[in-house]
Order: sequence, then structure tokens, then C-alpha cells
Amino acid sequence: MVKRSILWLSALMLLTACNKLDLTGLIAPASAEADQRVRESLKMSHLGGPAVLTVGSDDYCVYVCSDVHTGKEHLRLSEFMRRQRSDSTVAMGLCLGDISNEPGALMTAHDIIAFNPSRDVYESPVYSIVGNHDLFFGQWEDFKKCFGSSTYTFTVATPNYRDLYIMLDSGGGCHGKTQMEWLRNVLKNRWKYRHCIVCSHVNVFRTDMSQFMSGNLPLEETYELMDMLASSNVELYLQGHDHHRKETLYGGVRYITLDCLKDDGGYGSYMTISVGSALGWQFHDDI
Amino acid sequence: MLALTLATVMQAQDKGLTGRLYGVVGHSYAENFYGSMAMVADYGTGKGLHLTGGVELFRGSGYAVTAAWQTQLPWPNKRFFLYNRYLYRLFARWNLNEYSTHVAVGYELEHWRFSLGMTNRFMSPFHPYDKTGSTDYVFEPFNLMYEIQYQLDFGRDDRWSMMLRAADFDDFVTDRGYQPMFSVAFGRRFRKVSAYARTVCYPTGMFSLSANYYELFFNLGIQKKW
Repeated sequence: MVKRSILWLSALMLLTACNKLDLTGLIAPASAEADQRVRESLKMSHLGGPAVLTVGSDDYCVYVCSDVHTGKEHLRLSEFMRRQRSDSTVAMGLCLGDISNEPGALMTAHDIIAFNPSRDVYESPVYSIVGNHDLFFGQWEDFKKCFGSSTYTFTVATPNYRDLYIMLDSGGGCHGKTQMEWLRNVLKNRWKYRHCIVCSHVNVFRTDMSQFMSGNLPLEETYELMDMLASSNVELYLQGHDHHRKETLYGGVRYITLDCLKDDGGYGSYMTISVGSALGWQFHDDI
Repeated sequence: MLALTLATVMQAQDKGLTGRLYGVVGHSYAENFYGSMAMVADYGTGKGLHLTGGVELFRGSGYAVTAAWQTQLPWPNKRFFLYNRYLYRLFARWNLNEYSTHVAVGYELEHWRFSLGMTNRFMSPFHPYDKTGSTDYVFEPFNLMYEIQYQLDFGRDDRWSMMLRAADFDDFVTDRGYQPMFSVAFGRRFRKVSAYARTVCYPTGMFSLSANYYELFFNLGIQKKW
């Protein structure tokens, strides 16, 4: 415990010295607060892809990554994009926050995620949400310019079904009342869709020591969310933040935390979801 | 934890029974405005052992029950103590039971109080969700618990008291290390009854999260010793 604390404090000092962590966030918001961001998000659209994505088959694939922490290096993100856009079965990609690791990196990530004819074969969109690192140093303004909204839904329309994807902003450590009310209203229409997948950055549960110093949602919000998702037959809740993969089942909802995909993060992986009559998923460590 | 609060805002007596009744009004990012009522009793044996119990009716259709004991450690100078608390909370509106166990070691000086410990948490639905294959419980094995507190008695006959505190737990809350609650309290001792007021503020998180405002609440209560 003591050793871990010393390591954390040392890491904090180093990160502060190299513009990785905004320590003003210890005592004051590093970007606009949750309710304000949500209000702004709900007034604009997401720039990563269309609100209704039409695909040619009832079965399709989704590529998911999180915590790419783009800095001066971005090899894993580039490789992730190459693989996503080399796969003819892919409908879209999802990026679950912490796209940036330092000021200005959101623009770099935006360029890497954009369709690149010299690298990519099939054009498919990437839907992103904001993570806590994307808010440090006032980067919310950059996020809006590059990706637009961080609280939104989109629908995948197959020949016979429609699947609902709900993207949430928890970059400041909570969803906030405005967003929770919005989510409750969105989930009232859950019955219209075949599948429902919810994505957010910060972890709901704290089930192991990998999260010793990383934050979760506040408890009351966690409990409200758990009940809301279980009562609405949400199937998957995807998260990043912790950098360590784990799965938890509660109330029929599968909560999955992804590994990170940062270049200097050592072990990393991404996830693919096979969407058909049922949902299946697997992690890919070979990146 | 109840013992800790009693021992601070209104010094609980070493021997005998102390009762406390208070109301809470607050505002949080998750719930907007809310209110609750709580009652806490502490019995001191006079030999360094405190037994504490309490109940809170809160936030519309929920309640919390707690039981705790605290004992002075005999070495090296009787300033160290061991603290153990069990807390159950029911959030009926969210169909959830929460159980937590808190164990801590503390050190007490005339004005200062420190404690460091851990808690775990077990969450399960009050009414099971009717879904095949769902485990329907979540266990959090470890959360860091800490408390730093300063208390000062002042005025004629030390009738007034003031307390500053930073901790990640409170009477009926066992929170997480990155979400410290900052509180300030004032108390006034009358003949047989004391009154106190306290305000508590805490953010959504620190370290890896931005310190957005999360919650602010006020306590207003009375305490009586027998």
C-alpha cells in the first residue's frame, strides 16, 4: 500500500512536469462542468458519424477502443484504425474517451481517426465520447471542435432491425442530473430497438485494486444508473478509464471495462462486438 | 464513524449515554435537493470503549442503519484507537441494498484526530431482477478510509465548539478515497442539551478526475447526555 502510494505520488509529480495531468483539477474544474457540457452537447450533433447509420446486413461488427491517450506517438491508434477499416463487416468504431494525453492531442487524434485512403480500405465512422483526460487543460473546447457532442444517441439500421447506441459524458467523474434525466427519457424508447448498448468513460464499479486511485461515478448516481439500465433491458455497458479489462454482470446488464490502447501503456487491447440476433464480443491483445 | 462525529462536534461523554437527533438538507448533482432525518446513540463504558448505533430516514423511500464500536488501545499512550463500523443502506427508489464494513486505526490528540482504514462494500437488488444468469450482486473489496479533523472549544466555560474535518465518510455514508468531504461545524452547549450546525461539501473526484462540485449538505441537530 505504502509503495503504491509513493509510486502514485511520484507519477503525479512527473506527469505534472510534462503536461500530462492538469493538477488544477484537484481543486477546480479543468473544463466546463458536467451539466453545462451536457447542455452544450444536446444542442449539437456528433461529428464522428451519422445519427442513423444504415448497414446492409442484420449481422455486423463493431470495433471498440478506449484510453488511447494520444501524445507524440499514436501507433496503436493508427493500427486500430487500419484494422477497423480493413474489415468489410464493420459498421463503425467506438472510442470510449481519454483520446488525448496532452494539450493539442485531440486534433492529432482527430486526424488519425479520419478516413485515410492510403491506409484504409472500407470507410466506416468512429463515434467518440469524452474522458477525463480530454477535459484537462480546458480541452473540452477542442473536443467540441473535433468531435462535437459527447452526449448523444445513434441508431444502426439493418434491413430488419434497429439497434440503439447511447453515448454518455462522464469525463468529469459524474453524468450529472441533466444527463441522467436525458438518459431516462431515451431509455423509454428502448423497446423499439433490437439491441441497446450504452457507452461511458468512467467506471461504474470498483471491483479490484487496479482502481486504487482512479475515480468512479458517485455512489448515488451509480445506484440510479444500475437500476435504470437493468429495468430498461440494456445489454451492454462499455467503459474505459481503468486501463484494465473486467466484466461484471448485474441485473442482466453486462458491464465491460476495456484495456487501454496507449502506446506507452505496456499491455493493451481492443474489443470487437459481433452484433446479430445475439451480442458476442472478444478482446484482441495482438496490437 | 458515528462515534467519531459524536466525539468531535459535541464531545461524547466517556461514560454514559449520549443521544443525537439531526436533520439534513442538501443538494447533489445526482439528486438535486433532498432531505433526511437521523438519530444516533452512543454509549461510553468509561474504560475507552464506545458502542454506537443509529438510523437515518432519507432521500425519499430509503433508510440506513448503522452499528459501530470503538475502543482505546492500551499502548503506547492510550491515544490510539481501533474503530469498526457496519452500515446498511436501502435505496428503495433504486431497488438497491448496500452493506459496508469499515475498519480503522486512529490517533487522537487534544484538538486533532486522525484515522486511517479501509472499507468494503456489497451491493445487491432489494427485489431481484428477473433475469436468468445474472449474478445480481457486486462486491467492492477495498476503499481507503481516512479522516483528518481539528476541533476547538472556546468561549466562556468552553460553551462553543468548532470543528474542521476532511474525510471520505460520514455518519451514514461510506464513500471513496478520491471523494473527500470537507466540513465545518459549530456547536453550542446549553445546560442539558447541545445544539450544532454543520455544512459539508464534496467534489465528484480528484487525482484522475476533475474536481467538479458534487454535493453540499447542511446538518442541524441537538444532542443530549444522560
